[in-house]
Amino acid sequence: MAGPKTYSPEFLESLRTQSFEFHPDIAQQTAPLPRRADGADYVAPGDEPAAAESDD
Amino acid sequence: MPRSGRPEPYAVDADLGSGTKASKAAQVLDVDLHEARSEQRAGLKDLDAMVESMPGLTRMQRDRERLMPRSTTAELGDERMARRLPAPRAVRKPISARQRNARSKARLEVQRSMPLTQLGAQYELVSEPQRWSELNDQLSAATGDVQALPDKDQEQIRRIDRSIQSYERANDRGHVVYSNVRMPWYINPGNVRGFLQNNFKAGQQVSFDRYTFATHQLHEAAMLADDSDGRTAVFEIETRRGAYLGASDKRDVTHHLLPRGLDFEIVGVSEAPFRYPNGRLGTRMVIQLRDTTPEL
Repeated sequence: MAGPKTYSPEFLESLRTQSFEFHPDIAQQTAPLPRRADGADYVAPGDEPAAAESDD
Repeated sequence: MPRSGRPEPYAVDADLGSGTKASKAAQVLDVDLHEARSEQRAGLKDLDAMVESMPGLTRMQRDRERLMPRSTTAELGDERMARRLPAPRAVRKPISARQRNARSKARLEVQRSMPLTQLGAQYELVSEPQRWSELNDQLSAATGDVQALPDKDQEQIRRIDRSIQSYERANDRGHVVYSNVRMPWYINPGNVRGFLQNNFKAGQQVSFDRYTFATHQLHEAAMLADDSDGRTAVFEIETRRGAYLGASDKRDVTHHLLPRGLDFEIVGVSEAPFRYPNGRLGTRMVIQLRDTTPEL
């Protein structure tokens, strides 16, 4: 096992003002998300377009 | 002839498998082993209670002796800042820009005053997939007993715990967050709904020995884990715990890191609709949980 990493103080100081987040490897751990033909974003596999506004 | 069921009684542990940040990995295990792990976990919490009642220790000394992190959540700012689990069939929508901005501002304020060692420990956990797995797999193997880990890993985990507690101390809001959980590969996708309903019954308890990666939006959780084989469900969790790691309203990122050693009561299982920012609808099987971690 690798054990904890050591980061330079300068690098850590730079994190204070960033909203660092979970590494983009998350996307690589799963299959790529398909884009809709109309170019719309944010659609996970199997999710259908909204038929109509309903209960909200 | 009808197919006979699984012959041995079994239990499902939603947090036992070696998952990724994108998704927990549920595992089926022997009932006796499941009960033994539950008893071990309860024993560890009893030890924490004993540490808390020991006279003559400072709060810092108690924290060092504890096996699981204490809750440090600030009082709720206002009843309107509580967040409750939605009705099972309610459409889950993206959270408001105001919410994201307030949470992001609080996060950056906490980061600015946090010791760099804590910031670095948290950064490594959330940015290094291998480290995420190493630390969480060890915690799971030890049912959350941090003292069973090598010294360097213990030190990093305690720093991560303190970094989350710093945010909790400054946070006067409630959360409803989402975290994926994959069912085992041998569960036929057509049976997943029944499997969930049979194994995640309202009133039962679920425990997470690992840290949990979550988001404040169901559509974001759905995008993190490919569910083309239909085996991914989502925990919808009502809690006051954890640290916001997302952005402001400039980006659709509302990540949230929940601490280790949490207990939940299952509220129910249902197919929940949700809305993407572009208005489209999706659905996921959702297991609703309410945080019941004892305040020690």
